[in-house]
Amino acid sequence: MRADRVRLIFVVLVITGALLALFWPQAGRSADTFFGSIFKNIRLGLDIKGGSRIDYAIVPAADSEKSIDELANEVVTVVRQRLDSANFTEAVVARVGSGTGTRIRVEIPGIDDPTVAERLVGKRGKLYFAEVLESQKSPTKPAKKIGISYKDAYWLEGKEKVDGESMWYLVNPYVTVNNAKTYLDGSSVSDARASADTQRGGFRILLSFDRQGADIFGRVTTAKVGEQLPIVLDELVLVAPVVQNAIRDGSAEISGQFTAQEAMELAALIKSGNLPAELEKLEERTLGPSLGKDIVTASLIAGLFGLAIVLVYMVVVYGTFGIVADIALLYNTLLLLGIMSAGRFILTLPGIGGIILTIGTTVDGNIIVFERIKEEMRLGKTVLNSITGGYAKSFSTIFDANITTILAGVVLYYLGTGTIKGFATTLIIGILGSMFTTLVVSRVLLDGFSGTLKNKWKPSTAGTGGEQK
Amino acid sequence: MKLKMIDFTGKRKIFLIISAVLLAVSILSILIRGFNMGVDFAGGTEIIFQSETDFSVAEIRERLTAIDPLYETARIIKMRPMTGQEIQTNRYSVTVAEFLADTEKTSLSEALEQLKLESFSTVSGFAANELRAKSWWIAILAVAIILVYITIRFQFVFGVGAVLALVHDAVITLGLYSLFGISFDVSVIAAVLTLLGYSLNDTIVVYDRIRENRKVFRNKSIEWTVNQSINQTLTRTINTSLTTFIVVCTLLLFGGVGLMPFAFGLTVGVIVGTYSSIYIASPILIGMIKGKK
Repeated sequence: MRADRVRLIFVVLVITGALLALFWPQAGRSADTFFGSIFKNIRLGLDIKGGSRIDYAIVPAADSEKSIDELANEVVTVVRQRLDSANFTEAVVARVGSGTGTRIRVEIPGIDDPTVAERLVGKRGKLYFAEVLESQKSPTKPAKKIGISYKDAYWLEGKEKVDGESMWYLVNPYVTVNNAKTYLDGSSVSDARASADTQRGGFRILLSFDRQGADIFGRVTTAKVGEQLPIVLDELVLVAPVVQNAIRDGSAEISGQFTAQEAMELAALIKSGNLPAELEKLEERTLGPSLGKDIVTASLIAGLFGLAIVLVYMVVVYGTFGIVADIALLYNTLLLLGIMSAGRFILTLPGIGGIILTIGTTVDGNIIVFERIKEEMRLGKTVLNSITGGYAKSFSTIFDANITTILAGVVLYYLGTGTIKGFATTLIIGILGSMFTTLVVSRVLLDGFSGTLKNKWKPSTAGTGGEQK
Repeated sequence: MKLKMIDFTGKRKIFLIISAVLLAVSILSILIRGFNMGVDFAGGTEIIFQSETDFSVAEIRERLTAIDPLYETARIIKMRPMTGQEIQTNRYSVTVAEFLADTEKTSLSEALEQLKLESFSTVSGFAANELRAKSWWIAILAVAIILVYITIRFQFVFGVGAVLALVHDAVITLGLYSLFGISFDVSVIAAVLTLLGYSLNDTIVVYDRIRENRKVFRNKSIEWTVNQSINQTLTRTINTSLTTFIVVCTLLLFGGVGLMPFAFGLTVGVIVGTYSSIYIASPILIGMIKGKK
């Protein structure tokens, strides 16, 4: 009986956690309607809840030879990548209008904090490594230096303040290596990740170069051992580390003691490459749901109605077993919603597709087990033995059916963007939950209900029963 | 007790022919008719209205549909200015999947009272570049992983059977979208993925029984084993399909036009997915297992 106890305690703990995540008031979240108050901790997507819309105008650089059309397409791609790598996968990026009136439109779900997305969209994201000629503390920009060795050089401010004063660096974007000028910028970076800095504290950004970049970086660091090599992003010196020794493995780190948020945003900017043009914010608006409020209401009612029919159907067809399946179904739905609010995932229409699939697999898992238990009962076993036997035989079915779906879901999650990622998230959480509810929660319930169940196929006396249905 | 056996495998040729015809029709329709691409992919026209009166989205939809049925499926969003701005006029963004000519603009503004036309611009399909390049790799990788897993847990031929059933379901469902000219937007991708997950689950349940029965009934023919397994899991198949069907069908019937493309895929998917696990995925094993011997 120990196994039963452990299962029961586990089942209660899990659902308590899910309910807490779902109903514990989160800061800055309030609700105005009944449904709103149930789902107030769940972040809803643009299609269901709406969000903010920001329109940008494209300002091409003076020397740009590209047409506005080409620029717009490039901007959309870069912005999309940035938002994806900063986990704004549910955001929408589109171009609006044509010719000189072309705008870039970014829509972000929720109205909590569009400023983070704005920081990602509005920046050029131009990264390069520079040579430092001089540096000094100064409240204002130092005067320009004149002389042959100062050709191409200019003053840039450092991100870090030293003793409350700005640090200024006279840098040259072309690093001299063996009398040749080399230039190393963000286009050579193949990956950028935020990671915790265990030595200095805070967060740092790890860079990996592509093959060519690794080669240049190796030569630059060989030539500059003992000197500073500033890393510049959007004309701000992020850090100016002293090169300790030559780095030939194509990796570098920017350890500027950033906050986690800063590091993640900077990594997203660097990884996605720089924007081919400046973006100028035109207007900002709050949006209602893109599906239309009428449609959201109608489909919510339809969904609940369908769910109610399923609950009734199960009781009609399976009796006591049906009640177990219904409780399991509600349990898994609450679990899924609880995990979604705890993990701050965004629920969109595709996500609802995932939830429907979850409802399907939960009901299915229970039906598979029940049918197996009935088969065991037909062999004349006692109720408790039938439950044990039914579970033992249906385990491989439930396991294989769900694991295949989860594997496909994991591929979609890692490679997909936007819509597909949103779908995969609910799918994976939902199917794992459905396995748990079928194998553990329903088991606890069945054991509890076992006293009320009768094996109608079990022959009470020899010769009778067995044939009846 | 004896359950009545239904002969599923004896007539398998007929169903393979039916499926072949359905597949051919679907592929032809996709190639010739193509898809009725929605705003998400094809882009369209965005019209912004302004109004002193506070209309609901449903009212706006009703008024526009009275002028042109095109607006029945339009994406209508109510917009508010960001907080801090004093003028609180209501704005509505209406997007349709067509590129409207300027003449439409004048006829619209004449027909609508209390709604002032503010702007008229073309919008790009935001989902177009989200999907194209990488999506084939995602599909191939997902299929490969499913194949490997089923080969480990079952046998290689079972993996092939499951993947063929998935392709069968996806092609027929997409074919129906094309044939009926149902608006193809981002939610359709989600619907197709959902149906594939559902169909895969369904197929594996029957396969699991076949795997078990082959160990128990070693001297029976493969036809018999497959048929026996389909029959043993039939009650489960019917009950599961029926319950899922109830949910998606209510969504299709009462979810409104905006949700139609999504609910359509799910409803068709449940039917096709159930059909394929009984008549395609399992019978196809018979030929392959026999061929190997």
